[in-house]
Amino acid sequence: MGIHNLDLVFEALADGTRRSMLDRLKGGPLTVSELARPCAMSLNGASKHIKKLEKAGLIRRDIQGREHVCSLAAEALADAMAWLEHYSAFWSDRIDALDRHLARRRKRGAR
Amino acid sequence: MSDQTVIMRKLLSATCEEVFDAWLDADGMRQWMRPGAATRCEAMLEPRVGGHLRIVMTGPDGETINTGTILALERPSRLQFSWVSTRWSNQETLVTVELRAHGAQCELVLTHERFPARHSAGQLTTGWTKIAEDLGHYLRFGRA
Repeated sequence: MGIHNLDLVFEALADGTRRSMLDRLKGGPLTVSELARPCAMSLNGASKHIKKLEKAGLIRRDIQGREHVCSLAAEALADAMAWLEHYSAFWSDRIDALDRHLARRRKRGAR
Repeated sequence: MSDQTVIMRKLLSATCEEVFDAWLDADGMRQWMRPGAATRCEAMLEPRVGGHLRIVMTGPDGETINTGTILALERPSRLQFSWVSTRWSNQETLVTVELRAHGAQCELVLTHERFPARHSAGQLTTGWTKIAEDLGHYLRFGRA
């Protein structure tokens, strides 16, 4: 995740309307009009919020017929975190083990 | 979500040549690639550009098969290989190991890119792991 993306995520989450949209998407995918309905704003205004969430990678938009259906991309975030955590520990452990391995070889007088 | 990258650095008490050669030694690799709780580790590696590597780890979680191809070998400063793991849906990822001498020691920098760019793997600034940790904290606990 680049620094650019991270700024977009924080910016997206910093707005109450967008947070409530994310909250409602936890219940399942919604079309753009469904997302806009409870907000006291035009479809255009809601669209701007949705675009920001999409650019930040927090939601996914699929075009189904004439509708745009939005869904949470939270699984992608969770998956990203899991991968990063796994391989941070994986390589850290192994490089430490490599260090010990090299030390043992030196002690034995290996070349 | 793209550009997920792990970067780690360690100063090793060995020469860069020793560290480089250790990466290409399958017998030695069997020892240091073995995770703490694993009962077995097999390692096969063909030490040439285009050569294959295969590291099988057996542990309490079961068996994980890691395979890859060596893409770059520049002794003693750089080696690069693709890394494909059965644990992560066999996605092709990219590992770059760079070695720099610091007096009698060797600084190792390992970069593991989950979604490598199509052009040659570039250098990335540090801190992605920390940024990801911060983001994880933010999302779990809300704004500080």
